Amino acid sequence: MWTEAPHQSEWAADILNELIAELPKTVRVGLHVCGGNPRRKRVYFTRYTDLAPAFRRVKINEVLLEHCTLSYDMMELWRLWVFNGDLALGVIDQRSDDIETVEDIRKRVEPALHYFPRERLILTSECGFGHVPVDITRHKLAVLVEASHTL
Amino acid sequence: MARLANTVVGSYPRPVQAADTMKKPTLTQTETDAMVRWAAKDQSDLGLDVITDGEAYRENMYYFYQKPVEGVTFENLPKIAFGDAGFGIECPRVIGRIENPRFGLAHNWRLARETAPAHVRVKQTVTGPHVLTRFSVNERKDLYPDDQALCRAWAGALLDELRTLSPRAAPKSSSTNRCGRKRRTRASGPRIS
Repeated sequence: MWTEAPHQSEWAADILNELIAELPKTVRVGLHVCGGNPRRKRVYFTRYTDLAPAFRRVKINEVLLEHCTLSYDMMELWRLWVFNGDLALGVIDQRSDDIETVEDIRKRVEPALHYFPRERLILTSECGFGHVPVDITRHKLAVLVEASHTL
Repeated sequence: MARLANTVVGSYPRPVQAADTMKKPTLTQTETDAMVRWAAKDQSDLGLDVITDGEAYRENMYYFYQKPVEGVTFENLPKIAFGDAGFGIECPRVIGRIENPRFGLAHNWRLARETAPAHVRVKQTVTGPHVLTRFSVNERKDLYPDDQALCRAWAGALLDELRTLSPRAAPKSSSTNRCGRKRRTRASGPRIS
């Protein structure tokens, strides 16, 4: 919960690394860091750039991050963290019932292409859909899939 | 030109609103099994590349991991605020050594894996040890002198559970790892929040 307690994020990354080190080398590990999503509300506002020291420590294959509703440009993180893994980019806002378009997603992905090749970019939402109505979830993910096939 | 991949972060809606509450889930194993299968099929039918088991078996991302372990009590929960947006929860108390997790993640993952087509990858999601630490009240400073020690205990419990995900029988045991647990092997990929 790095965004809630950023002052603990570096040792939290170290302990996560200890856990990861115990997994077989064939295991692919992804890390999701967000601003919380209880009942579809963001509750923590630490910027990813302020967590760069922790991100630089953690040994993961993939990172899943918020992007499309942040109040700042999260691409600034890549000036502080040289990450060689895959970026799962939050291009769908699961906190809103508004359905994105493929064009919306194209605009949201475009900045990341300056930092990651296509084969290391994954389209996703900013957080989980556990409290989102089923029909809204399906609509949003259908657009996500269409975007991943056409962009 | 390579196609962009897609995935979900973790939780998926339930097909019907469950009547369970945060602290006292009422769903039966049969019901959660059905929801896992439903979520796996729904995500697969949408064309997603990498899916999860939907996490319908849990009402939130912390109590699910804090209840089925030894050393944690849900009696007399203090309510604690987190962040600046008015969010707060009742946090369980750590009153003993955190051990013997019974999360059942392997069962749910296998249900999802059996349901999804072979070309769809199923990842295992798990709440990270730091989240579980922040949402715990440490009343055993003799066992866990600081937050880092408590976090290592949660990491050890998660590791114990992740080992059950191995599709093959794990070695009986060998060395003791840095999380204080016996080392075994497994072969599935987690996504940690």
